[in-house]
Amino acid sequence: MKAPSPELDFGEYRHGYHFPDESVFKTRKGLDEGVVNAISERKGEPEWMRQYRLRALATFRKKAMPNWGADLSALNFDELYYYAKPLEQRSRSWDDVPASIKETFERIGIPEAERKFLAGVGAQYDSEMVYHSIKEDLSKLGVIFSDPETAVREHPDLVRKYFGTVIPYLDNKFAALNSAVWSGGSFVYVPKGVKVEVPLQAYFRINAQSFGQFERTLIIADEGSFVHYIEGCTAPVYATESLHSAVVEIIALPGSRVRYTTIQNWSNDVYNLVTKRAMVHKDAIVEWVDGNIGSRRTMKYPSVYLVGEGARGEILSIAFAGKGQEQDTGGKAVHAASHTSSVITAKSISKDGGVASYRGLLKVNEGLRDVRSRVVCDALILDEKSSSNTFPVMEIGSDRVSIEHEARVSRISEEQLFYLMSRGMSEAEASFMIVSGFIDPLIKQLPMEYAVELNRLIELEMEGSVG
Amino acid sequence: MSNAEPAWMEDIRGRAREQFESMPWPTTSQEEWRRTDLAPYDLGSYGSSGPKPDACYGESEPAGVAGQLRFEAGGCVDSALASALRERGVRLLSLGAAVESLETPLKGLFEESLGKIDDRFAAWQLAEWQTGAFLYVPDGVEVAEPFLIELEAAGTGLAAPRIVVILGTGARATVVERIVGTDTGRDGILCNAALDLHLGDASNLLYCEAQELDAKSLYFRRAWAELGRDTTLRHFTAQLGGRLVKTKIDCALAGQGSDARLDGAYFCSGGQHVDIRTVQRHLSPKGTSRANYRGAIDSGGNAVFQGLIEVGEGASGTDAYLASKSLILGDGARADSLPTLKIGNNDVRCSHGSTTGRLSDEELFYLESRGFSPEDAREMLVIGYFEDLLGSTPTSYGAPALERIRHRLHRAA
Repeated sequence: MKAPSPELDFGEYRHGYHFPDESVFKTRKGLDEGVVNAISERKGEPEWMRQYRLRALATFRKKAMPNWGADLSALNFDELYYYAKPLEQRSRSWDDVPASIKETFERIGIPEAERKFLAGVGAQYDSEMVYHSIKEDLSKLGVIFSDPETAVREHPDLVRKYFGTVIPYLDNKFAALNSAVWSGGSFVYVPKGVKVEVPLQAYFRINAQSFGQFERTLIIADEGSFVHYIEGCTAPVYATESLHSAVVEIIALPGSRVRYTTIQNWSNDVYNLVTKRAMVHKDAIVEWVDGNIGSRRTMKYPSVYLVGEGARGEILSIAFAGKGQEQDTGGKAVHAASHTSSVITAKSISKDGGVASYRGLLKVNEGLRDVRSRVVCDALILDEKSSSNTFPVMEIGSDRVSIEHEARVSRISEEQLFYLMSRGMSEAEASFMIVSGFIDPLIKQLPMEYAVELNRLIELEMEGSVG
Repeated sequence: MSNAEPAWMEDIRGRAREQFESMPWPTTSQEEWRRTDLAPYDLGSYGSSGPKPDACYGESEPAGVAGQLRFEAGGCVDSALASALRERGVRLLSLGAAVESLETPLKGLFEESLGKIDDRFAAWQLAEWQTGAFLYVPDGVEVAEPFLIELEAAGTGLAAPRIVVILGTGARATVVERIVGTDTGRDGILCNAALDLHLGDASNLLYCEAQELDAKSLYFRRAWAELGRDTTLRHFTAQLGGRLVKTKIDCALAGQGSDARLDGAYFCSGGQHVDIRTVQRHLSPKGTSRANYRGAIDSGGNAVFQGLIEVGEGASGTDAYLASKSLILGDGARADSLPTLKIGNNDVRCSHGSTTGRLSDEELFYLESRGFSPEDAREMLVIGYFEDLLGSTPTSYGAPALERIRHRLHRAA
């Protein structure tokens, strides 16, 4: 039996609405010292941060573009705006948020009623946090959840101690770019022993044409604390390319646990080039849950650096590459201490000519004992036009280790389709069920509202996909 | 040069030399060479390959094998082919002799090789090859006994052996190739070897190569295999010597329904660097390929395994698997593993697996509790680990390879 290849329609972006650009302040196109100084001045930053930005800019110019990974040849740094400030005043309450922005958020799926479940909503519209609320009980516990600009002003000691320590601007070209022009993002500090019961959430959104968004997130979990941070993105469709280049740094101090969940759903013209890394100290745990559905090109490899004994890192990465998309994602685990463990699980789906690539690194430094790691990659290719690559690298420098890696690439099996259709399902339903089952490990890791949102999105994209 | 070669061969060497001169040595900025740094080696100092050996035509009668070619210090010392096989059209002769007498098909194959040059070593090989063998098995001829090709490289300088195998439609053959080195020179030798396999439709080749050079020598090897329709190749390699080893096999499953197995074993101890690359290139529908490599890395050894499964757009129904296992035997050993998949087709089943670990404490404890010394227990487990792979090769190949591994284990201990 040869079942016709299911035509699943993930290509059309269905959240392609956007509202007229109401940015109040915008730098000119292109990037130079003047633009960086203007951003810094606009934010009223201290001199040390301005100098940091300028050093990063010099590094950005020197660093070569990556000669591997996704095709970035269409990216033109001179055609981008690097900063836009949407509103003069920080909104104090939800009622003050302009109606157009509210509507955007609601279409993404943050109804006002949901706010009471949320610990704090940092919703990013263009570059600044326009709305930010933290429940009082969190403040009482000493948890800091703000945009990084506020943190630079109000907690300069914490910021100076940790900012750029996990991902220095020398790390790569896009980390240097972000360090030069960063704007918005989140700053989270969880004090010793504090367990934040509800997830902290922030929505990001690009809403100006050809406008790069460079958010910067710094999460510090002090000893024995716990926090779950959720970042979700959707973006309107534009004709010219937009660049999103974020830097996320996590410091998990001894005994702490940090979980970071991302659902990336940029529209199909966004270049999403993100550096995410966590420094995991003694007995600490960091978990990255990373879902990449949108964007034109994504290059993102959340990393865990296990620097203390007993540290553990987990990375769960799911990528969907549809028409014209290239998802170059994966994860990196660097074991720099004994008695550490890591698990990387990657799943990808490619369709309509999309390219999904897993790229990963597993490194075990020399002279370590009792290091365990497992890397599993699964790829599903839905039609003959699409492709899938796997580029894992394992560098093992110690003998007392146990390292396992496996990868599989396959299509929806004809047997599975046939079985489900013989039970009375249409081909579309059967395909949807198989795809749902494939990404189920990710869905299970999400808080309920995200799981619902993601399921809805996939169902929507599978609609009318056969025939 | 002692023998005048045909003009066409001179021409090919000249064109290869031009490419050699226009190319730089590979550097660590190239992905395939990223983990093998040539900078500490003065590659130019190994000179050229010296005089071409006398042609030998495989005229005596071999014992226990289908045919045999032996080279010592660049000269052909033994050449034999069973007369029954010669009568059926089988040819086993030194490559120099083949070039003299068989312009067709060799000229065309060498032209192809010229087109496949992609680095300075490949160009160098084609320009400088001196010893080597040519095996031809005609359509429908099945040879059960192995052909034995032995190359003993001695002294210093460059050795550049080249082996060409052609199997006709439905032909069947087994080849055992052994490269050994005697430790006479101060810097060992640089051996730059090439293997070129052209396998006709429905043919079947088992090719086993063992490299046992001395601990100073450098070994570079490129192998190219092209499989016809419903063709079966099993290529086995054992990298058991040398200071620096860099090998690559590129296996093209060009015909529909072809089946390739690329297996290998390597042992790497203090001061050694072994870098192995395999390519399973699926170009036609319904191909099957398996790569299965096992290495043991002792203290101070450095091993790199890079495997690639590449499935082209037209290669539907591909079934490919790649497995690499690294056994780490001591502190300060280093094992890098890069199994890669590039899949451009949805009708495939491709997977790879890689494990890195050390001997199991439980198994060691069990053997010791049964009265084995720790050294014997270790040896048993390491030999068992390799026996899984080598056990299925011809005894004339597998047994000496295991013996060599045992020897190296003792020396390391």
